[in-house]
Order: sequence, then structure tokens, then C-alpha cells
Amino acid sequence: MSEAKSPDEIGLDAALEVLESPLAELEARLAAGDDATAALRRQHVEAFAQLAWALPAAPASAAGRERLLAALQGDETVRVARPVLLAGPGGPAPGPLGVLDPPAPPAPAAGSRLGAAARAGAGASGAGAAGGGRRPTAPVVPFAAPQRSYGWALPLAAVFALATIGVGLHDWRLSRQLGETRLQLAAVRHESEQLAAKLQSPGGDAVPAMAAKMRDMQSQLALVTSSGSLVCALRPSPGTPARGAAGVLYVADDHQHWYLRAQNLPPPGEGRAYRLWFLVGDAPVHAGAFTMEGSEAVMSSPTMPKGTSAALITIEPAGEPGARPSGPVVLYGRDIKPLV
Amino acid sequence: MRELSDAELLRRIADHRQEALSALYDRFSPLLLAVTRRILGNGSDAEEVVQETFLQVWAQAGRYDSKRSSVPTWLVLIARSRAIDLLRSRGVRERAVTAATAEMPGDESPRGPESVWYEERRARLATALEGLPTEQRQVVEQAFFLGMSQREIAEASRIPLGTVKTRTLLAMRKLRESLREERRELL
Repeated sequence: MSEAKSPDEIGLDAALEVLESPLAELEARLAAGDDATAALRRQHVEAFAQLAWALPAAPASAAGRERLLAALQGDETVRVARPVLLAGPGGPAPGPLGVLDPPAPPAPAAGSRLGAAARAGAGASGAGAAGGGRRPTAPVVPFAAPQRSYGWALPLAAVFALATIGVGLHDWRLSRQLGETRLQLAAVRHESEQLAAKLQSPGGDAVPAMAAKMRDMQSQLALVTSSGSLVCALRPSPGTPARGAAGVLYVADDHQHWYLRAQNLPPPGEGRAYRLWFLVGDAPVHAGAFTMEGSEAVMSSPTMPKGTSAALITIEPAGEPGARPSGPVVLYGRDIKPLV
Repeated sequence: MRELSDAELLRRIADHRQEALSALYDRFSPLLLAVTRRILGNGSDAEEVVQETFLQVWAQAGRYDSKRSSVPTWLVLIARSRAIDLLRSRGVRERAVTAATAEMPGDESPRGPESVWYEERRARLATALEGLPTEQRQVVEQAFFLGMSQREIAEASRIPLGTVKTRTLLAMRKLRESLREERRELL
């Protein structure tokens, strides 16, 4: 008399049936069984497939793409309007798949060239490409406008800069430097409170916008000085055009409020903007765009998606964001540590 | 096109949009080539299987069912199944076992978002796999990359079939659990 199988065993057995089936039976095995079995099987099949992701990436060969093109060109159902895809005289030649070939390895320009070719090939505008295919993951992420220079804010900004530089250049000293920063910030807090009192005094009520900004900064100050806050150093991504850049992402102990400070990012280029993304599992979630004010930029929000595992900054076309980044990554961080 | 989701790309491929296949190729060919090379070694067979996989996707994208698997897993399953079929048909399993244990050349550095996704995910999975006991890791790798049945693994390893099943089950539990945990890394 055999014992009843656990859900784990049922799911594993069903997954192994898929894995042990020949190609001709693969689809049938994936579709077999009732809904409950299918759900259990999927968990195990997805887990098995994760093994593939642990392998080092193997760059695809140009020869493979050439052969794929040759096969596709024999297919009369292809709907790409080939003349549209052809580059003008002196321009880049179409790639092996009939679209403007992204340079290998992918470079910052690849996205724009491929994107332009794709839009042309689809016979649609960029709006079409950005339409129905979006993942419904982007949260409402209000963020503060970049701070302008106010005299009373300079000391505070200087301390923030110190913290950022400390994290970017000396990550191994992160805890110690941030501890020192907290002491400096405490002094600045006192100074900022005095400035706030002046703003509220007679004759100082003409600057409500400044007062609002003051509150924002005080909120950010509280975030970066709280012992419960976490900090994530953003480092330049290999191959980035912004090798001298650095960033720090502070996350409040409620895991919702966050504050980003980025430094030394070069101008993103005409019609382009920097965008912050959170990585939830493998899904990028757009958190907002920002521009540099001088050599610095700040963003903050009371909203961070649950399950965020990493943060990155990319260069993207200005305007509405896509469902996922398409431009180069300039800053990237995944290790988050307590502030103290 | 690169900003579109995997599922949306498949929908456009089902509509025979060539540029969608191009984008899917750019997104997943490194992953699929890594899988086929792991199974078949570094020869031209691995690239051939990747090409055949994308041709199959071109012809059968409409068959994809999101309830059965994610897009990456569907692609991996097709490429893996093709590679293992080839492995079996040519009787090159022994050579493949040798190739599978060889050091594979890796992408030197992330260059774009897709590379960063890949590296991010690869780092997580490599850590999860390293956390498995060797004997458990071996059975899941033999099942996945060599297409060996539980019985074949038992015979090749000269261990009872029940032990293979237990090791596989324990490995999968740990793998799934570690994957759930790593997703809470930041928050």
C-alpha cells in the first residue's frame, strides 16, 4: 500500500514528465493534467528552468543570426515592409534580421537604432510600440523636484554630498562614514530649524514654496539620520559612459519612503533623461525620471514596490517611460545595509 | 521594441512581426546559447539548436500559453529539449558530460539593461545553487542539462532510485525557497 504523495511530490513528478519528454511531446506534457496539477507542475518547471539562468551568458554569434535571417527570408508571411527598414545612403545597413542591426556587443546607441528600426518596421509610431505591451507594474511614484540652491540649504547639501562621496569611493567604510555623517547632519538639523523659524517670522511669509522645500528637506534629513534606515550604494555599471558617477539610495525603516542622491552623471543627451528603476524579482519597475542640477540630482518618494531587490539608473528617451528600460545602465546597486 | 514585455513580443511574433523576433533573439539568445552549450558543448551544434529554437518560436508563437510557463522558461524548455534530443540521437552523451563540466566562457561585463538583468539573476541563482549539497545539485543538473530520468541517474550513480528522488525533491524545495528569500533581499 503506497502512501499518498505530497503536493511537492506531485508537482515534481509532473515536472519531471515534462523534462523527460522528447521535443515532440513537450507541449502536450505542459498542457496535461488538471489545473491543480498544472499549478504544482509549473512551480517545479520554473524552478528547474532557473538552472539555466545560473550559467554564464554566452554571447550569440553573428553566424547564427545570418542563418536565422536566411531561413526567415524564405517565409512569405513576413510582414515587415523591407524598404522602410533600409537605411539611407551612408547610413547603417540593415542587420541580418532585416532591421538595423544593433552593434555587438550592445552599446548605448544600440537601443535607439534598434528601436527606430523596430518602429519603422512595425509601420507604427513610437506610441504604438509603447502601447498595449506594457507591464502593469509601474507604481505612482511622486518625487521631489530637484532642489534649487538656497543659502540655508547649502550646508545640508554639502553634508549629503559628503555622505554620497563616502559611499561611492569607500564602500568598505560605509558604516563608519555614515555614522560620522549622522553627527554632522544632527548639527545641520539644528541650523535648519533655526532657518525654518526665520521663514515663519514676520516678513518671512513670502516664501511658502521655500517653506515646503524646507519640509521636504527636513523629511529627507530625518530619513537619512534614522537608525532604522537602510542604505544602498549605487555604483557605475561596467561599460557605463558615467564611470565617475555615484549614488546612494536611502530607504526608511517603513520600507516605503526612499531618497536618492546621484552625483557626477554626465548630461544624458538631447531628448534623453535619467530614469530610476527598482528591480522586483526580474521585473523592472519605473520609479521616476530626474535631471541633474549641476553635478547632483535628488529624488524622493513615499512609495517603493514590495520585493525590491535592486535599483538602477538608466538613460532613456524623454517623455513617457517604457515598461522596461531600453537604454544603458549607468548606476546599479543591489546590496543594502543598515545605516549604522 | 526592446521596452516591450516578453509576452508582448511573442504576440507580435505570432503576427509574424520580424522585428519582434529580432528583439526576442537579442533578449534571450545568450541565455539559450548558454543552455545548449552546457548540454552539447561549444561546437556548432549549440548555435544550430538556438537557431532552430527561434525558428520554432517564429512558427509556433501562437501556441504559447502563459498559464503553463513564463516566456523565458518556455524558450529554455524548447531549446533544452531540442539539444537533448540531438544529444540522444547522436549518442554523444558522454562527450556532453565532459563538455558540461568544462568552464564556459562568460560575458565579460554587463553592457545594457538586458545584461544587467541577466547578471543580476545569474548571481542570485548561482548563489542558490552553491548552497545546495553537492549530491543534490548533481541530480537536478543531471535531470535538467542531460535529460536523464530519475532511474537513469540512479543507475549511472549506482544509488537507489528512492535516494535520487529524495535528493531531487530536497534540492527543488531548497531552490524554490532560496529563490523566494532572495527576492526579499532589499526589502
